[in-house]
Amino acid sequence: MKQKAFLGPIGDDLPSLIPLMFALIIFFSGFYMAMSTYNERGEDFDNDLAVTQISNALRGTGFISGVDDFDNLCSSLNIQNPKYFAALTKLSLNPAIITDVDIFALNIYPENEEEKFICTNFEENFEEEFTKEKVLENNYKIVYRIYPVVLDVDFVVTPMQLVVIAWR
Amino acid sequence: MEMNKGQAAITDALYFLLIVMGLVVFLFFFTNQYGSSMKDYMASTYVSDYANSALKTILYSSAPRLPNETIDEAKEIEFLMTMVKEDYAIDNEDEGEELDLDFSKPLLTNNVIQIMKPLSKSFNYIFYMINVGSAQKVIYVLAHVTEYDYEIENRVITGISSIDKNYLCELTDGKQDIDVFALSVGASGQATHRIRMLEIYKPPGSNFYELRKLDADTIVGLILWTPKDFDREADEWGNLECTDISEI
Repeated sequence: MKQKAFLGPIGDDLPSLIPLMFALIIFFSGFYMAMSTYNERGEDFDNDLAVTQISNALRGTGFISGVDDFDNLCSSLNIQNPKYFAALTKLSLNPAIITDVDIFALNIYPENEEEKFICTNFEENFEEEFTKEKVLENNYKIVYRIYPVVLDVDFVVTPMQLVVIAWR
Repeated sequence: MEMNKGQAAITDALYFLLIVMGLVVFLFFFTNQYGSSMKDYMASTYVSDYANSALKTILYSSAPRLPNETIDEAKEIEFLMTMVKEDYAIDNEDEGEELDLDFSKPLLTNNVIQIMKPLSKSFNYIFYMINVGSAQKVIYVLAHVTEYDYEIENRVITGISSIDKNYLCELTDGKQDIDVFALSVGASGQATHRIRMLEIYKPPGSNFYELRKLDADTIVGLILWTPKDFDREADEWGNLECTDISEI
């Protein structure tokens, strides 16, 4: 009678292994979930911080006096990751013109000239490589921000939009 | 002792499971909360940065001298704020005359609306220019507000539609009205700047009039908040004495 509960080493330990294994599975799944969320959000913050850093550098005082001034502000940036692309687009003050920004079809200022207001660490052709299809295909995480700035164009202080896009 | 051997092992395992579940619940809440304050901070930084940039853009930008011209085709161009200051000085020349900024008001309204457009779908805002001298003269106030319309059937909300409206406001008690309103809606970001308006005066012994800076500052400000429905009958909104631009 005294030995009724004793079923042997395996008989005794096997039932306890079930909650033990269950606990370990729960623990490692929870740990994996926590780590992946942590990494995912960390990447989001890196993109956010990069966009903030780029926009702060490029906005300067909020007054851009020309391409040289913009290039100088751009050269102060030293960001390798994430990839970014920043440009000036014209902000129309005509209410009849819709000025919604489409990041996949930016009208970079000045439209018909070669020397454009662009700042990027992306070596490939932005318009060809940064398309909706490629973004979906590569599952890029994109952060973009728009800021109003003023640009001195031949002594006319014109409102513009600074568009900053970062992705990884 | 041997009789309890099996029970002890399974109880230990159950305790272990309990501790692990506690840990996992903690991890779950931690990861759920992780970064949310950082995310909120980044969003509020963006709104404040945008407000600052927008204010600078409004204050620095040029505008055509003649009405109905665009900046690209204008024959004569002037700083928008210079035109506002000139209008203010002219309106103040005759005491008792209404401060209506005849010429510059439509330009200023258009500039503010267009510059704020990228954020106007997700944020409401109020732009104001108030002289903070003893009289607290309200120079210009523009409010962009989302209005909600509820479809209700049998006491159940079946649909919500919203429309964005722009208002020009008069204010009952000056800047205090804006502060009270901003408090009631919960400002997400704001920016202010001080400028000096002008007045027309005739120097002693001179036959000509000149413009000079006023002694008191004018506060130019921009407050943004997340669109929300609020009581239109309440004093916070009523004291702003706003008129829909489309009705002016």
